[in-house]
Amino acid sequence: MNRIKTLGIRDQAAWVRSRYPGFRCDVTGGLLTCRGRLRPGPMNATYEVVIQYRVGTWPKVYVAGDQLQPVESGGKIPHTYAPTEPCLFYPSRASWHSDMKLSHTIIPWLSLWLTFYEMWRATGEWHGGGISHGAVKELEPAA
Amino acid sequence: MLLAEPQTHTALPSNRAEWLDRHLVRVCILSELTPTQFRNAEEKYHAVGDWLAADGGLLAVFAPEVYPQGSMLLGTTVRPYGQSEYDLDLVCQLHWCAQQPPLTIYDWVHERMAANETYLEMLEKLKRCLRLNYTGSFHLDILPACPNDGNGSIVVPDRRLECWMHSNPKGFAAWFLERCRLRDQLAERMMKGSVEPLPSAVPSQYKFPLQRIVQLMKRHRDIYFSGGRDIARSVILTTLAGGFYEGQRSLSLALEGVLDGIHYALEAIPTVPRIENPTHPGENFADTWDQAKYERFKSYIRNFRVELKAVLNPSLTEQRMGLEKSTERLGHLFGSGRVNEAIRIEANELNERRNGGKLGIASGGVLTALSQVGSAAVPRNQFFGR
Repeated sequence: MNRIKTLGIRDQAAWVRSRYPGFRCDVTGGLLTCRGRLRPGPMNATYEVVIQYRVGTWPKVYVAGDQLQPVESGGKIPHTYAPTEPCLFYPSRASWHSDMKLSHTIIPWLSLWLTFYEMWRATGEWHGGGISHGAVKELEPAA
Repeated sequence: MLLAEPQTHTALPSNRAEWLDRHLVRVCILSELTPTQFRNAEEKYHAVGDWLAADGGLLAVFAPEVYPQGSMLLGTTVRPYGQSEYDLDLVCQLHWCAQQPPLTIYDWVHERMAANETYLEMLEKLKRCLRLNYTGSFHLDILPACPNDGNGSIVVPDRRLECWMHSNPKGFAAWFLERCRLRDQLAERMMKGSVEPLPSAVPSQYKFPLQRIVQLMKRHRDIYFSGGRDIARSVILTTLAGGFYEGQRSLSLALEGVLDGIHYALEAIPTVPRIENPTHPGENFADTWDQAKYERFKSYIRNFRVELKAVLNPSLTEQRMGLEKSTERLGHLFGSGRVNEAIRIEANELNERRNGGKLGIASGGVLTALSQVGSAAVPRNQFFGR
């Protein structure tokens, strides 16, 4: 039934390097870690970002250091799992599956997320849409 | 009619000036008459003109002619600070009447307006003009006038001074619209030697950078002086902007150039300068300035220039703060309500591209139009989480 052709970890790394020559990718024990810088547009800051992925799990993204800040101290940043960890997609096989390239999905979504994050910091409103955690009872397993 | 081309953007801005050009246009559009309000105002002033000129009316023999003047003619209206109503100025020009005492002319126009029951209810007498209040939308200020010579020059009654005051709204608008020309269009015109007719009014999507500059200067004036308009009168802002504009296409860079020009010119003049009417030498628009007012005007220009430059060329620290810092500075200039609304419009446009599959990403991670060479499509996604 499952017709997904899972991309191997080294293929994923190669795609990231070819699309984003500034990114450094390492594979250790089946875990891919890509580090690089993203600046979504001319008005935006530059962010140090980390993408981690192991086949069979959801990719994770982190924004390094304390670059992401809530508007009020102790407050929540919209669409994050943790203060440094944006939620880029609704974790279901329809949103992301392992034949998708990180370079063509996760990284652009992160750029887009950072754009809306800065708009939110600037105006107090999240314009990027999305699904809230509360709307989902149980996460599907990763593809 | 002389019109700028409407702007459509297939690409996303690739540098700060391009971003600011679009952002400032959004701020202007949020500050001016909507197309519906604009058409409505035009209908109203045509109706006023028809009423004043109607056969059998008191003024019919003077062949009155009603036309817009000021910001409506120049295409530089902005909603007044803290109000929902726009000031729109009309001239009611009578003919063969300059021999009459000024107050008589004023009273005749008033009498004719008051003869209409609808107008009577919303009519108000002001110093030089008659005001029709269209509550919640705009008011039309009707300035009775007589011709002065053949060049569009008129005289208007001043009720307080009981004398004729000189004015030339058509001449001023002709000068301003000539100054609106873009550098490349100017070159073209010099080659062809053609003369464009004067536009009556300019719909918003066709505005020139210079018209936007005047709107932005008026908007910042309203913020900086909390609605006070006597120090930086619109006619002074329009004259200075028109004088220093050099035909640039980029709104933000043109605005920077105009502010630089005004700043350096004024810094070189320690005492109150004359600001001459470009179409009527001898008339000083700054005749009400004293040293204190002049200093406040200079500080308004200085503040505007410093904030704008900080958005165009931020320090490294401010660059690291991203959009937030620029938005804060733009909020100081034009009011955070309108600036935030402009960001919301930008976000909507970005989401339209995103949902329409037209958003791309370049190799550095910069979001771009999909049509851009080397860009890859950004697939649709739904951000998750609280």
